[in-house]
Amino acid sequence: MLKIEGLHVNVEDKKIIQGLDLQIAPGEVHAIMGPNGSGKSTLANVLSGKDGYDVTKGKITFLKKNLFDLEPENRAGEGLFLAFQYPVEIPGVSGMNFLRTTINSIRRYRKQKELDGVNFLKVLREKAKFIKMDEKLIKRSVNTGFSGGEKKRSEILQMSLLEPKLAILDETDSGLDIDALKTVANGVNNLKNKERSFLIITHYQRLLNYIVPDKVHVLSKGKIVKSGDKNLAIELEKKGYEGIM
Amino acid sequence: MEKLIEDFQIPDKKIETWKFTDLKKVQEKNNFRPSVKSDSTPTNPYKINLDISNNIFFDPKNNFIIFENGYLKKINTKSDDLEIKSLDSNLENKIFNKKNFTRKDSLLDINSAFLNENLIIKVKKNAKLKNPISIFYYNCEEEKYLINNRINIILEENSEAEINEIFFSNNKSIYWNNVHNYVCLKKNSKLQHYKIQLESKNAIHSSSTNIDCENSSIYNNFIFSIGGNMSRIEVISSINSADINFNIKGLYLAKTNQHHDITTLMQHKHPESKSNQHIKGILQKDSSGVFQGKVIVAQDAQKTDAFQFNQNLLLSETAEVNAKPELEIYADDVKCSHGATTGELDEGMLFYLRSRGLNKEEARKLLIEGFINELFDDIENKELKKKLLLTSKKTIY
Repeated sequence: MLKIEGLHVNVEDKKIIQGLDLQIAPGEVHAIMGPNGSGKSTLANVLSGKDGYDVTKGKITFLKKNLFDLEPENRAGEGLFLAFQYPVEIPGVSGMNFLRTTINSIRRYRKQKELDGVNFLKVLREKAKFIKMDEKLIKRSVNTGFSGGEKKRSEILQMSLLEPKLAILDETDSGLDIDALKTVANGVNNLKNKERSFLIITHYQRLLNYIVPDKVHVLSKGKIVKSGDKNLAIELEKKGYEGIM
Repeated sequence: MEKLIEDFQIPDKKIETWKFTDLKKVQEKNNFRPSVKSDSTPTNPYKINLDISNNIFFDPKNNFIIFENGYLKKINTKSDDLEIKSLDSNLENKIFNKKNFTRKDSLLDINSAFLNENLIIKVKKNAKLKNPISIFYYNCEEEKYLINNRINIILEENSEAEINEIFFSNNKSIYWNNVHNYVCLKKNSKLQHYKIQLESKNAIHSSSTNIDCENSSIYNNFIFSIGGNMSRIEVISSINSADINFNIKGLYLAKTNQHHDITTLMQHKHPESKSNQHIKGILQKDSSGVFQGKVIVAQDAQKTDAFQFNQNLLLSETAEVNAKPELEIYADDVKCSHGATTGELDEGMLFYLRSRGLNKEEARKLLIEGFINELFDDIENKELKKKLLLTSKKTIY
């Protein structure tokens, strides 16, 4: 699914990622944990194709394609999805219009038939219900005036509509209360299948109680310093990053 | 002695309120002459020009007034609560309290001197007009004429109406349209006033709307300005009593070489009234935009709530905006705020949309639409809103 080899990334001449290797097979759930400034979000942004990151070395292959050859929208079309840590607010663009435009852009890319109004609403309602997202929120401008929890729910809704092959969740758990956390986890678990992979980026082990990872990696100073199974996350929670490294 | 256009001073950049719009230069280049009414009165009844009946803003169900090449051709009223007729200028001064709008304004002087038509629209007491009143100002001649018309609007106590003014042409014509409105809102009345400026790409548009508000009246103005080579739209209010709710929303969409100017003056003279101005501009290619908004809160106008905001979206590197929001506050217990922003489309938003599969062009379109939608959100006439959105889209893409 995803193969990262010897990745080095600079942001404004500062070395953030320094030799990162990671491989995710179809159907696997990986978690990356690490202290602030370890390069977690940089990794997520580089994967999604955001500007301002200077890849100085290394290679990323996504579904046998060189990821760096693909524009952000084509990465999305190929099946990469990033649930943002801080989703932007887009005043004036209604959620309905946004979601329909996005789902149909992706379907066009995948050479699937576009959804008409009726079918789109049917799919949307079903998915929204599952992650307990109020339809009133969807009618409003995208993320505008949403609470932290509502924004994260909105990201999960988009994820379930776009049916990605690899979903990256960038600190989706931060700022969520326990109920919202469970709903988000439910949304993810419901999408799990043997083809679909997840990369969960988080500070805390909390979310991993609900989404059980196959592999856990500890990121420090731009490198993976330790990998293990779900028990590594539990150990990390007990001993802290310093205790492990 | 007959007056000549040369006798009047055409505003240029030397005048403080015209700092960014040089009308004199345009007049010197074009030499527009005041239009003269032809003597021959047509024997046949006027048949509505196809350009007008095909215009998307034309609806035969509405009350309508048609001006063609500067002159009144048809008045069609569907309600007994509505009176539309020519106004004697002597009477005009009795009806309208012009002292609220005393300012040096050579365009108003020109309008008075060469007046083509002076109409009064009166909505009777307690009347709530079901259908809007649409005023079409249509031009199809290639003479370089200067057109001066004046519309006076009175809403009597407890009445409600919607007035749409539509300025358009066959797009070949060259003219200068100089229009003045006086609006008088009596106690408890409510007016929705849309100014839809779709003039010919070679035309000059200058208009001013002067609004006098009485107790508990509501005035909602929506300016939609996309036409003309140069356009200057002024809104001047005089808030003379309490509990007035005064709103101006405006959008200018400027393309190649166009110059759009919206200038407002809000005069809060009495306590406890509200005014709200939100003007947006989208500028493409070599166009330029101007927003000048001044809010004056007099010493007596305590508890005034005045808000003013101007946002501009620059879609090219050569487009230019001058924004000048001003507050002059002499009272001490008021809530006033103002601001202006000018910038390109937000990179963060563009990236967010692209990460969801929209290509650059689709993402841009959606964001531009969003920028416009925000302003259109509370347009009460939903059908008109749809037409305005459609017209904006056609202008941008």
